[in-house]
Amino acid sequence: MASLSSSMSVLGIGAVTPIGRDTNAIAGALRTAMPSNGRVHDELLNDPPTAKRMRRADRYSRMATVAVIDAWNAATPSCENVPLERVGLIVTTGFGPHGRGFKFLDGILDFGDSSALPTDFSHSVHGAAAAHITEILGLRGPALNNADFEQGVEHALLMAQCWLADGQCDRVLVGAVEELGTVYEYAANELLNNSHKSAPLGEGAVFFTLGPPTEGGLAKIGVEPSSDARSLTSFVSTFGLHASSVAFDLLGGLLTAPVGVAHRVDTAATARPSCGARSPWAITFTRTGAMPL
Amino acid sequence: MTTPLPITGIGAISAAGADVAATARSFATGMRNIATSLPFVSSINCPTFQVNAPLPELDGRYSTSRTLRLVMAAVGEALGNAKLMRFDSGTRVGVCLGTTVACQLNSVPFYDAFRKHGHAPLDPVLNFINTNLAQSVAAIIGASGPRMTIVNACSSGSDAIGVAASWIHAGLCDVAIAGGADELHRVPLAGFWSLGVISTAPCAPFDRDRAGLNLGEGAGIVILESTEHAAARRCKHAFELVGFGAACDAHHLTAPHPEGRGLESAVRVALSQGSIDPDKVAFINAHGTATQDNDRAEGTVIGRLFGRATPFLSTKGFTGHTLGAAGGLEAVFAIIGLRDGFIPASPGFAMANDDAPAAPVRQRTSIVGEYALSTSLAFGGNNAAVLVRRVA
Repeated sequence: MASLSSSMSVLGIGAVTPIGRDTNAIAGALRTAMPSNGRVHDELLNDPPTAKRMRRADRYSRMATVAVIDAWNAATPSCENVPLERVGLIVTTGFGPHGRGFKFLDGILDFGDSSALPTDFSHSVHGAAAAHITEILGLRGPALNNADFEQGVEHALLMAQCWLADGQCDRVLVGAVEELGTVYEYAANELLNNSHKSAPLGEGAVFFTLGPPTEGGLAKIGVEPSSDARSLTSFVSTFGLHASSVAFDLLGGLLTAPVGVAHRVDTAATARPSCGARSPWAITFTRTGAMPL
Repeated sequence: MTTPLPITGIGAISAAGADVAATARSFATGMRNIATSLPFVSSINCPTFQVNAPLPELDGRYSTSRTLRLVMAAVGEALGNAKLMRFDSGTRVGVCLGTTVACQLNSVPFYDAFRKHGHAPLDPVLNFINTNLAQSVAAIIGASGPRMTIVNACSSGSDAIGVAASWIHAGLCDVAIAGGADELHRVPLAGFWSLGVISTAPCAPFDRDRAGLNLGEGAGIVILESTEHAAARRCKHAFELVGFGAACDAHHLTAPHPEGRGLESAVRVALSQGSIDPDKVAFINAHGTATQDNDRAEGTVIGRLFGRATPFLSTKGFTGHTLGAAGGLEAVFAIIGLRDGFIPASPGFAMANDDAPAAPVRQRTSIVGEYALSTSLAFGGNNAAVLVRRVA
């Protein structure tokens, strides 16, 4: 039985959030507790290098792709000699590309089952974002998409730990993406109201380029069993609430925590307006170097 | 070489049979259970493969998901087969399941009402959230280990087996329930129809005149255990998972790489983990959807790596394309082939293309050897290969 390393090195961060895409700007906004409307600005998703290849893609795939590319580029110095067959990708989500999924249903309702648009269907599949990412970056290692309302981010990080520890991968791009579509916004608000809770809703994508613990990097990060499901860090008030909020809590923690102090990110109970289970896993990180802000 | 993992239980439900025994009988007789009418209203008219057997009754919120009921049928059979009807309090049980239908809020009536009125009763949303596949199965059986719902389209079930194996290798759990499930549903049928890959005739994987896929439904589950856990409870296992490989094409959203680049990488990784050469593989349960692109790419890889000597088939002619269930079901079918010592004629196949580098079996074929390979290809360029071995 292989032993699972308890930590990974964070070699790069990429994020597109309601308060910006540049990690420097995001860190500054977090320090001033800048409020947001929960939505990612369209101009943040229009990258000239990928615009043509992403012209049929929806917001979900665009958010994930720009965040992954930023995370990959931020880690470039440490990834230059890594074969692309040795790079894994894990995309986690709760609701997936539901905006495009409902657009496909528009086609069914408006034109009939046999006349809906194929592009809407192919982009409504959860793996669409990963397909764009692997094609653009040329990644040929394993790719996983997981859709979980509980602990999806923790399990994605756990899987990255497995791949790095058992030697399947030398680098893993792992993160989360959620889209704030009109149906989700309606349903989530109703569910929150029904449970007498209140939280701003949000969307965005955050990805990390992770390597083995022997690499340098910005921080050491790991997922460990937790018997104590406290929520120590929550940035929901800034990034907005959705099924992958813990990934954004981790982003916020990494960008604002002091060097050399260990932090834990547990799934905030408020991140799941309709689910009550507690996470048995906690994400622990220690800043080992300054962020390249 | 990766340490082999005992496979101590299997479960399957599909149009080929309501359990493993019934499935094996279908393979023995070559019976194809093709449905000519759909279980839902649609303007599309095409054959499908449906499960007509009664499904487990589930409590409350879980009763609303047919996919969940399908998977619980296979999970129950697999746990019974493994003699794991209850877990010791210290046993860490992981649940990793693939799906495509159960990960999307595909309620057309809900969305129709929302479009018209700006609001709609939320029951379909709650049912969707509360029947997340891995989460729900873990809750129903009281599993306390890691859990993940894999949504890698048509390779989801195979990828789930790979994830579960990684968990056990890493010491994250002692037992893992792995595989996939999907129900027949109007929305993916409309989706595959829109792509022009649905056949209006029974599917004919790898055939020269193949005209596309038929959708199916079902669930396939394997129980993986750590060697230590299986030994501690004196469980003698007949099969092992000896290799798993996954790789991306990095080529196209819906089409496989024409040379099967990612599939070849995945197969090579699986063979490497099992420390075997291709000629040790007794047979291949191919993905074989009966679409032009899939079968051309997959046939190319099989011919290139295995030549014409290794028998292979596609069981989609028995089950239809069960999407997220396919990888789980076909891993079970590979085990059935090793257990029973034969594979059936690849249903629907009659004549290969003149330039096909390999062709599936046309008749029942005896199997000599210990290893079987199951391959999966998916939307998004995902490829996976599961290598199993008969040990007793």
